[in-house]
Amino acid sequence: MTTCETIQPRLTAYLDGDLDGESGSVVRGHLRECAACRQVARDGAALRDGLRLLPPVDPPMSMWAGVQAQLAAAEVADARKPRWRRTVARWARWAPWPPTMPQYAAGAALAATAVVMLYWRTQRVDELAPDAVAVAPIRTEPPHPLRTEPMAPALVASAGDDVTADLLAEPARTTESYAQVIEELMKLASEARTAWGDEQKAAFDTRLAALRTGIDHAAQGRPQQRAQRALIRYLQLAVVRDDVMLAGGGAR
Amino acid sequence: MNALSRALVVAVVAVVAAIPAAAEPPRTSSSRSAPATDSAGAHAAAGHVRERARLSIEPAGHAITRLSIENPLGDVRVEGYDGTAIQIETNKLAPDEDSLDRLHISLVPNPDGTVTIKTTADGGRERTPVARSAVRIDLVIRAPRDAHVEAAVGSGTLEVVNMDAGGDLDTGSGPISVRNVQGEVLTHSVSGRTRLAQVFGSVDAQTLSSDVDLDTIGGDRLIASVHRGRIDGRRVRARDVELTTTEGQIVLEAEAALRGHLVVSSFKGDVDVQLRRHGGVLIRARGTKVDLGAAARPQPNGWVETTLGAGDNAPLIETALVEIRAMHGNVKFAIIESRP
Repeated sequence: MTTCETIQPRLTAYLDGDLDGESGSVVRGHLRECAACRQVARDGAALRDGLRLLPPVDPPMSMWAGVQAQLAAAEVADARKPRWRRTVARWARWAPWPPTMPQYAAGAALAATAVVMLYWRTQRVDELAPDAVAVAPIRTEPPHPLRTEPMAPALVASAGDDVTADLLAEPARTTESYAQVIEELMKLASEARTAWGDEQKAAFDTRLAALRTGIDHAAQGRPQQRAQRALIRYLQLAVVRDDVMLAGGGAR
Repeated sequence: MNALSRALVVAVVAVVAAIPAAAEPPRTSSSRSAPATDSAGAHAAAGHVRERARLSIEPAGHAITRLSIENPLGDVRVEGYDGTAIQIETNKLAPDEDSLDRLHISLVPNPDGTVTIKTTADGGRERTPVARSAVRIDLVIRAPRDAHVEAAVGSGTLEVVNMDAGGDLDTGSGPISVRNVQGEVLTHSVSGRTRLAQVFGSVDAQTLSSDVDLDTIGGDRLIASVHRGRIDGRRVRARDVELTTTEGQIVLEAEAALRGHLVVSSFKGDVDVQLRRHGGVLIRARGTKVDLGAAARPQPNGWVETTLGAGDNAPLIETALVEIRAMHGNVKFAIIESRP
């Protein structure tokens, strides 16, 4: 019998697509019946979809190197500590202070066992051949890349399809449509360019660079689309009317 | 913006926000209904909730000179009339009350004479997600004729009629329709069909993948460009005309003005031009196959030329110039009416 308390801690893994087979089926089945958990799942999906809209962040390699360096320093420091200090530190993390009587008794028993084990291990190490000691290599590969598109199973109702998210994504879609046409026209212009004289090529390149700079510097959304339209119109003129006014053109 | 303007803005926004709950305040009205069925379109299926409201804004001391509209959620129709107020009729549609409450219309009059109307759908915290196609806001706006219109819609229809100060119109996939408008008109659409009729001012129309239809255009300058789609022009009387398609046919019936300049070009598409001429016309054409309807002189650079109606001593400056290109298509040209 599944309960909300057992399901809710697993929702994040479920939304990330990390639960498969029976585990995923159990969560899905519970979501079908439980409105409260379904709402929690929707909220989680909304958060996930909102985060998806954020631009991807690639951590610089220097950051990973810094993390590795700090880990290495910590490991070296650990290795240089006497064993008794490491044992005391571990004990201090888990045991309340001051210890109770039963803990004293348990500690004494452990200490006695440790003495016996230490003696036995000393004997064992002495018996090992030197080349039998393996040293694990330090992992130097970069971290796993960030997952920008988590593999999520279909949710009961996807917040990504919501009207608000759709409206937010619209300017990017329009900009992409313009960008695709620019790409198509650039191919045609490149073909046409082979037949132009040097003066025409220079004029075209200068104007093209200026229009591209205009796109790069324009604010996202309508200003950028306006700049894209200017480039589209110029490229059309260059492709279709290759013998006139290559230095001019461009839409308002 | 001074304190008075801010207070005005807040007051107007508050009025608009309160329309659904308002008990028939002066010059505003609203109604909410949940019809079982409705014949108003695809979105009016059973179970939808509709809210209609009307609002009238009188200018406070200064005329309304510019109308800025942004409605990504539905249609916009702007009608000019001989009045000074702006009358707005809003029509919201959603699958349920909760979704309807997420749809908002803001109206902000600025001291410079601009009135801004925007529609939005709020974030829907802890609410059931609703698809964009399931909700809509349609606006019908009656505005003073001499207001300049700047409007942007998404997939809805954008229609402007009977205005005298031009406009700047933008859609995503929605069609644009402009009729009986004076002043400079700019239109841009990604994939919405653009129709302009009875425009008496310069026109600049651009689409990526849809057709442009032009009827009775009489400004100084007409520019239309389409990446993938056709351009049809009838009764075009602009002095300077530039029509361009990358892939698409162009059919133009135009009147060549004295000293006018018509440039009609397609990269991959046939071009068919019919001309009513006044005075002399120099026609230059280039295409896979060129038919100028008259004896023409092939030029060494691949062009074909002919001159009509201009005597040997006619000054070239008085002659209209027609340039037609179809890089990978055929060119057909004909004179359909001649006047001296």
